[in-house]
Amino acid sequence: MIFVELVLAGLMLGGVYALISIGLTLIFGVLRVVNFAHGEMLMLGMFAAYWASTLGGLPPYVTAVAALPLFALFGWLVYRLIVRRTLGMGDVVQIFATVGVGVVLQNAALVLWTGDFRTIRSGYADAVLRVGGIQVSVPLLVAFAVAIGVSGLLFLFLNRTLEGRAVRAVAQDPISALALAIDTDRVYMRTFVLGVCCVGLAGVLLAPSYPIFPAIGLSFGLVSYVVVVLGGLGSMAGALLGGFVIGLIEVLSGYFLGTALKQAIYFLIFVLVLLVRPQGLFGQRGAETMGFGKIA
Amino acid sequence: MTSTRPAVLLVVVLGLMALPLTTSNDYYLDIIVQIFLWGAAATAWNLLGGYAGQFSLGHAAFFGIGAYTSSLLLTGARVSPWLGMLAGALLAALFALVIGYLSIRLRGPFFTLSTIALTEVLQILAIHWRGLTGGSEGVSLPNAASVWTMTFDGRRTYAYVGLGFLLLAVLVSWLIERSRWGYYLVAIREEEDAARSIGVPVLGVKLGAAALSACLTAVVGTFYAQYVLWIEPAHTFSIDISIQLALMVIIGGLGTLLGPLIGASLIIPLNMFLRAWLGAAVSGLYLVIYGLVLVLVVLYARAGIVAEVQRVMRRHPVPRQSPA
Repeated sequence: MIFVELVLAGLMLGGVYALISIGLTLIFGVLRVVNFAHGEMLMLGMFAAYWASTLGGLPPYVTAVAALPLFALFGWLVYRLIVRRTLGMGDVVQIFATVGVGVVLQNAALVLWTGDFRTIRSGYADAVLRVGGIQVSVPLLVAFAVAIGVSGLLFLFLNRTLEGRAVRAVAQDPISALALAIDTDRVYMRTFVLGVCCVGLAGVLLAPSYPIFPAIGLSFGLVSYVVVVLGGLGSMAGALLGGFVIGLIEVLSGYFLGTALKQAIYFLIFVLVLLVRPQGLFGQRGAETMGFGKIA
Repeated sequence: MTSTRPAVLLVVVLGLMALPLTTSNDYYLDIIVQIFLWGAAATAWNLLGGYAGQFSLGHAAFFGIGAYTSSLLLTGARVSPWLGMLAGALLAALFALVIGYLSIRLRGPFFTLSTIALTEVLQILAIHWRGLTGGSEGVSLPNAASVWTMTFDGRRTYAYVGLGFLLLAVLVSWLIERSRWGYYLVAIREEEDAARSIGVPVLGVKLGAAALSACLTAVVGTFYAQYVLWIEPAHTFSIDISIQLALMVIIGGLGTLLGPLIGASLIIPLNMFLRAWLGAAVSGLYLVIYGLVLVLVVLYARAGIVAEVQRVMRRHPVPRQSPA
């Protein structure tokens, strides 16, 4: 019974990881930019949920919808001011521009809200659902369901709409897309905004289950990089599956080996994936070195 | 890449040697020690990041290995930090070779990601392997001034020891810059596939640069531990150290001999003054400024401050004679 519970918990956690990673893989797949500030954007989402709950009494599931325009505006600003200028530039620019954004966000949060650990006081933070003797955390179940829902919507968007096809066209070949009268700059902007919205949403949904503090972004950021590398860069299905795998491994290794070493295990997986299947589960061969890939 | 002329280098070295004599104020001497210390570490980072174009955000790992190896040997077995420093350097180089072999085939941001993850793992190990490392509380080092324990009474002595490490790092860079190996590094940075196709042994050259860079960083880590006399995982293995090294080199000029030192000379005083000025009440604000500087420099002054100043001066030459 305990094993079933662990597996369920692992899958729930995996769904959350998938939701965090979808934004990262989407941005990378289309813009070819690794967002090093991804974890810090997640942290902002968590703080949004915290303040909405503490000051406005809004439960995180209301914030999840209400804060989306804010995340979109934030994503648009970061794209306009910074990310747009790094497209097609060398590694120094691409890496350190978003590293700098991450440093600014993390420490701005530290200045504004101090380094204290905060938790959202709500009735359902540790609510559990009991089905036939099996317990499942409600906030994680919600996060899991939303992760699946959002991935499904993104998949439909990318495959069934003209806009989505334009995104995939730009991901495959920006020059030809331009020749077909696709406004690539707009596609980049929208994709980036979409990615930031995904990670902001993930932050809001995680907020009831984790302590909230400015430096929390780093560890979640690292998890999402491992998930994305495992799943295959730029692959949506890969992010989903990679999220589940990492979630399961974290919960199982946390139970059997102790929570202390779980991050060491991520890295081990990271290295193993790079050695055995560097393109990830769903990626195209060579993507990890060249940065090619197709989306969805 | 323009190499620095020996005459310029001589003037710089003499200037640096005179610097600690200009003040006996402990606060200013601290700034000087830190400029030498971080300048040396940034110069080490530059070997891999600047010349070879492999942007590591994991140099805190090597820094920490150096600091912990010598400190644990000193507190546990009374081994002199001078010997511990060599052990740490060797260990860091070995570590860089193993990790490098696994991750150095990754390019651009993926290499950077793997270096961040690696440092995280070391930090976790340092926190949880209490029996060896003392856990989160860290390691305190005995404060008994003697050359054998690399502990000194005055900050001026520390400044000269730090200068020694800085000059060592600069000398190594200078030798490499002028060697065939240095050209290999730059060739890899500029166009890895082209370099491979004309016969540059890419893997070996990258690994060598990683090992040497790790070695020098670990040496500075030991010196840091002996200067501060207290190390702990949360700071010694933090990504903040790695980012700071990268920031210094990027500001001063990637792949230039004196860029890292120039970057350190700008960042360290800025850091100290901001901290003193803003106070503890707004801790973190100076890091916000760091981050902004990093973003602005990579977006608008990619070649570093020195090259940008030179460029502006070339465009607007100072008139030799005042216009009549």
